[in-house]
Amino acid sequence: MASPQTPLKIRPVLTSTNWQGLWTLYAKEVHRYLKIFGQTLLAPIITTLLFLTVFGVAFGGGRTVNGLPYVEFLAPGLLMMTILQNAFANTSTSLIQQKLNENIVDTLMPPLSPMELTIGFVMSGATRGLMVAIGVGVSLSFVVPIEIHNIGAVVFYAVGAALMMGSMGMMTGIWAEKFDHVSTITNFIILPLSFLSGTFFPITRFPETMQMISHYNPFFYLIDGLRFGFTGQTDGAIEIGAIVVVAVNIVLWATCYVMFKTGYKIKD
Amino acid sequence: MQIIDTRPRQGRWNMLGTWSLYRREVLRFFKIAAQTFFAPVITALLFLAIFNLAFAGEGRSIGDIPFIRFLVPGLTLMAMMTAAFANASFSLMFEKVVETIVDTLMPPMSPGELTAGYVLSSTTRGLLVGLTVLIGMAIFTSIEIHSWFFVLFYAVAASMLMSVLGLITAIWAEKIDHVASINNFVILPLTFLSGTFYSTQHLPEMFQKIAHFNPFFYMIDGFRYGFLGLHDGDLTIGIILLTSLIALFWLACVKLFASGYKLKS
Repeated sequence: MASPQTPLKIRPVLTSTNWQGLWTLYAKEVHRYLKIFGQTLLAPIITTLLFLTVFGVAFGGGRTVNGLPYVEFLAPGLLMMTILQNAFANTSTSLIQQKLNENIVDTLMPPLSPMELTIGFVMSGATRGLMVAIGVGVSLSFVVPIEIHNIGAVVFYAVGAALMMGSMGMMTGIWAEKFDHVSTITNFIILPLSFLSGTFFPITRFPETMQMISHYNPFFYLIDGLRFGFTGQTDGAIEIGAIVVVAVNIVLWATCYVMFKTGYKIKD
Repeated sequence: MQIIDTRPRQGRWNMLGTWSLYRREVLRFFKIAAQTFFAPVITALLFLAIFNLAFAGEGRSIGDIPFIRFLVPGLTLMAMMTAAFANASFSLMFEKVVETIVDTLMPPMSPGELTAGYVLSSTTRGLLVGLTVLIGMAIFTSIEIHSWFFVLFYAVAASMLMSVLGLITAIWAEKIDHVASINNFVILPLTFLSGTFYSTQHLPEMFQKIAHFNPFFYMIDGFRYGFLGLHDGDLTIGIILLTSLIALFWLACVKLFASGYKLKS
């Protein structure tokens, strides 16, 4: 028998950030959706343009909202809706798929800390949301005159929304036990919220009570903030919106961290 | 000992087989009732809400019909079409991906029986979704029916046409991705742009002409006529067109099953 060899040191690196692992996870996730870019990038662009056609062109006809041509009011809303839906879809489906295929071990085994896992997943989801948004923005600009009123607000709200939905999708993916659960959250929570938070109409169209409720809806601040960035118009308060976005992000991020840390529904 | 005859039955219709396939398919979508029935209702109601809120207080009407009543048939039919297509395409595609399709192809069933089982079960889903969506909408607006014949004919025809199209898509597709592509790049645009949400009379002249070559336009137009008594296109052309398209694609499905195209190697 050969003499025993010095065992390889494979302990997780505890003291410093595992940059390579983090980057690998991020790259793996981004490659995953770029492989099916027809579904992940082109399809949302087509859907958004369809919405624009139906709402803007077929009903356009000189309609204005607060003195703004309707299509110009609509464009930022559609952009935000795209970010919300795609960032959410990415992390939630990616995780549930890994759980169903039982290859999630390959993600949990490497020496990645819960924080690194959270960052890798959320960032890749957010990247998808933003990539789709850029694609949609470029194609919208052929049809609608898009001007940027405040670039800071555009970037802040776009990134804030992408990160928020990335982590929300991640929580859903961790919690869900089957695909059905993910679709339920998408159909009954994300879709209604993204439709009814001011994407297509100013919330002043709502009855009084609904308007009050909207001010507790983070999606409303996201859409309103992005619209402010493009048009300079707002239904809410931009400062409150910024605080809400940051606070919600911190809470969701912490929840994801705790979920990975405890291994909730992932490790037994 | 009794000997069970397992030879394919040629010459007469395998009723038990067709019924079993139909039942299995219907049970499949009832198992996930929240996704198959409630999700389309919520989506349709959301569309109803956003259109109303976005264009509220402008006294918008089409002809002398209030906009909300104009929307109801379009949204209902859209939900039915999406559901029928999704059911036929995803069911067969899923069987191909998880390789359980052999269990469907092995039993002594002829191509015609297979087609009937799949198409009729998807049609059933389309009709049930239409019914639930209508019930959901009846809470918010009054629904009147102008002609039962047109409502029923177009409901069945639209669901059936989308089912055969879904079935062909699934036979052809090699992965879920392909089905999703057809859904996103063909079915969704055609449904959105066929007058679901607006009267084609609002479109520029050129687009109106193009719309009249789109079979989806006739489905929505005829179905809406059944509710409102108003139509943009020719109803007779619609009936002939839909019947012949269904017959054509149905035959294509039978041929595809018979040849084993992309199903048997």
